[in-house]
Amino acid sequence: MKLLTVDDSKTMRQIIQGVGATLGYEVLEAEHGLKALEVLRKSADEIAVIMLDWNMPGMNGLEVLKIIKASDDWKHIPVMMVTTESEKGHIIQAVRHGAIQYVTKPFSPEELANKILESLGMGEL
Amino acid sequence: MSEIENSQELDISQKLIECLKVSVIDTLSTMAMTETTIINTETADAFNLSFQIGGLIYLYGNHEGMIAISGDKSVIQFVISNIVYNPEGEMADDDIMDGVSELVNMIAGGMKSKAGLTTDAKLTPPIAIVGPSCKSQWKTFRPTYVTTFKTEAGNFQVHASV
Repeated sequence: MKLLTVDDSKTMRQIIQGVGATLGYEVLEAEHGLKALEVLRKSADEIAVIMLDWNMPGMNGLEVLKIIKASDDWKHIPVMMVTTESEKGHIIQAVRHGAIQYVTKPFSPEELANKILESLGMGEL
Repeated sequence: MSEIENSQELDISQKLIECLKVSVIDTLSTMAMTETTIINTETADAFNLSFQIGGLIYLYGNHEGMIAISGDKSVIQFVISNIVYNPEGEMADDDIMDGVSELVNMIAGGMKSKAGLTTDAKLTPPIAIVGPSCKSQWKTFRPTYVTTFKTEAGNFQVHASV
């Protein structure tokens, strides 16, 4: 199984690549929402967890989340928001629309790894 | 603006500056796994950046301001390399620009969060500047606070007019 990171920052995608590698997962990348939907159309069966940034060009993370959760083919995939947006209102909106985790930057690699494992229904590192 | 409004404005600015300093230290210790200490904070009349690498972001909405990080390439590259788990690698300018943008975004986001700013205070997408020796100046209505931080690779500065 693979992880999917959706973030316009290459740096963030590299961080998630690093964390994914330590957990033994291949990480697929998308730099914006439309690309993420393209990846899902091709590879949804292989994706165990999706990590979504909030602020991205074009569709924002919440809009992408709503599309994923409205799709019969994709709604079972756990979605984590990984973002600098830490206001309660954002967190409530994300959870209301189906996000399983909300990780705010900055985070340690261990913290992100544990959140991924929790999303997969596994224990901590 | 009345004297009372002026002092409230000053209080919020001071709170944001303090939250920003904590955010820088938190971000570097958690994401770059680098111990960072404050050397000093000085005030300046204008927002002056003089550096090899800079990242800038604006705060807008119910509170406005500018926040930037600047430093020599070796220091900023050291921090970004640590963040992306590539401590030995030489980085391309594009990667450094993306990294310094993400860094200033995380630092400013951390400041907002620690200060408890509402969703009405927003951050613009960040701006990155990379060059052998860049000098930029913005005129601001509020004083600029320049804090110098020390890492094991050298010093960098965080500028804030908030």
